[in-house]
Amino acid sequence: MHCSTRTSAKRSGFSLLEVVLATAILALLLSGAFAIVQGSVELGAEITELEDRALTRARLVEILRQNIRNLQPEANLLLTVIEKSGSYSPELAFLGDGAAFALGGGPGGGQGATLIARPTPGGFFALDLLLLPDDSIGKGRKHPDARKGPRIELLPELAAFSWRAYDPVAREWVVSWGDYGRRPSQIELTMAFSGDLAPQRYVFWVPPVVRLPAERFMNLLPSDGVNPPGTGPTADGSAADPTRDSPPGMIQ
Amino acid sequence: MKADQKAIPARRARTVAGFLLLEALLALVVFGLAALALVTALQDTALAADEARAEQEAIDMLQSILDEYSKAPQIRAGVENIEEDASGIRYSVETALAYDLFDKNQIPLTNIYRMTVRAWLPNSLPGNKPDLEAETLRYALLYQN
Repeated sequence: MHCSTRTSAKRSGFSLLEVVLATAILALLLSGAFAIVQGSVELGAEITELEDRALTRARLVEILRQNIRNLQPEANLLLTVIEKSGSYSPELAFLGDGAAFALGGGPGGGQGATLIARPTPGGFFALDLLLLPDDSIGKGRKHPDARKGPRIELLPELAAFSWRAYDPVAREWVVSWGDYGRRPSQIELTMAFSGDLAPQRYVFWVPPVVRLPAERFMNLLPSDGVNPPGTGPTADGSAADPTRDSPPGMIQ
Repeated sequence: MKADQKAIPARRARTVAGFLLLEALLALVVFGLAALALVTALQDTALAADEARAEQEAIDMLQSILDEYSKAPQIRAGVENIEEDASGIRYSVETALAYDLFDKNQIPLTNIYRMTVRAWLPNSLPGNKPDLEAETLRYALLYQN
């Protein structure tokens, strides 16, 4: 009789101690699970940010490499550092290169493009791309903010950004390049995103311009003298190729 | 006999009433193991992402280093080690005359250098084979403008 009373008492519900213990265990498990989830979310966010940054960097480097490598024969690079009230904004211009940074479509019809690292508050740089509608950059030096033309912000927050050009004659790196007759042999970019441990350095090759002597150029013309090189068959039936007899530097 | 009959339902009642401490601990251990596996998987994901990032960076740098060394006005044979960068990737550039190149008349080509850039990712040991490698050929008299 006594036993059945105890059994019915047990079945009627949980004791306070049991509820407290169960709650404590549940709380422990939940806090553990919550910590893991929170950690994984933070880690995921961090990985995404790192990957984003790496991808942005890789894309920028790739675009620069393509544009510098494919610099048109008549084009040249102009490297300047514009100073205004203590802030420096390095600029690399692709002068006379209508195909430079032609985004998506063919040549933009302009006279080239220029990349300006614009100082922003907090000691950062924003990298802007300006498509040059005319040859205005060569005529007068204007502060980047005063430039006209379509402006695209490529990167908003860079901790460091600088260019250098390699002078193949003097065999040294220089911070400005304004020689219209010659090209630098290489362009160096040093940049760091905000959050990077140290700036990263990239070197891009600038194809040299090999000017053919006039008599060699005439030899390349087809015999009838009507078709310019590259547009029609030559006397021997092969396609005319202006680089065929050129020095090795022409063939890239 | 009577005492035995009374004892059995009493024990059953105790068993039904709640969990043993051992059961609770076992449950905790099982949950703990699951959590540990999850954390390990997360760590592996992070490591894989980091490795992929380092590899991408190394590929970009291989191209950059090749551009820098193979297009320089003057080249010289030898091995140059580039000190470790912020990501912990090490590089070396080897420049050597290429003896194994012939023209169509089987005459060896002269003044051609083979330039090889090698990269070791951060987790590779000093004696290991390089993780990435890129090479190009360079005619020595090019780019001497």
